[in-house]
Amino acid sequence: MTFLETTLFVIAIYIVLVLVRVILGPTIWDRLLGLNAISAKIIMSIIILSLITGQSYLLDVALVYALLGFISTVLIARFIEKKGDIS
Amino acid sequence: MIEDIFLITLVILAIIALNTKKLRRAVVYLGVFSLVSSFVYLLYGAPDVAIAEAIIGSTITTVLYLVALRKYKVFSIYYTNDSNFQDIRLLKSESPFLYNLETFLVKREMEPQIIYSREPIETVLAQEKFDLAIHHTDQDIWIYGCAEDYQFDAVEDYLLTNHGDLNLHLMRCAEGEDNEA
Repeated sequence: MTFLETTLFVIAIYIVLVLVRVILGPTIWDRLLGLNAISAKIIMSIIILSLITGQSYLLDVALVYALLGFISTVLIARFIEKKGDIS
Repeated sequence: MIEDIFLITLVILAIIALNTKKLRRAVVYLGVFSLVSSFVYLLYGAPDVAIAEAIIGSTITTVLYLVALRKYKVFSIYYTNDSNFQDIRLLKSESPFLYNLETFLVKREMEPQIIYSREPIETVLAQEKFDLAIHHTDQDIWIYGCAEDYQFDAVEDYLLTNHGDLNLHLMRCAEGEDNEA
């Protein structure tokens, strides 16, 4: 395994570890933070995948993720904080 | 190797999202599911599908699910008491407590649905899916609700300010018992 593949593997293990927090997490806020952390790690692994395969258009996918990934987190947090009122 | 990790993760997430009891949690699980699944699309060499999944799956469906959760408004109340069966309308005119509670819920744009149950309260708590269970004895009123239900917080505030003279006992079930949303 090259260095990049090892990095991707380690990030995959991190995703599994955060997933444990998402599944077990006692409150909804733990799950939400887990969702946010997984989204960050997916962006990292997309970039590493693009370096491994040498296809630069995969970076566009990472860009779309980074721009849109926060929306779901913000909306769920707002939904819970405002007690069901998201407007 | 890496594909295996992500595919197993996907299966676990899908099963958990189906089996969860709270709808808010299912929304979070589905968000993680669509994130991981779009990365799997990338691993199998389909970046256009991955972009579509990123936009539609993790953003728009989350918003849609939250809006749908907001519209989920039917509020079921189980009512038991020690005396014999009475007509539910008679019951409401007899105890202004129940009538006021219903009016309060209608004001909060809920649809209260009062179910009179002849079972003892333990059976109702164990078997039925309720938002609020009321057990009315001669002196005391026991009210059971879910600890995480935010509607129950509002009901508690209302009852304690307006019906403080009654002997109210508000009980909160632990997390993960049979309540939804």
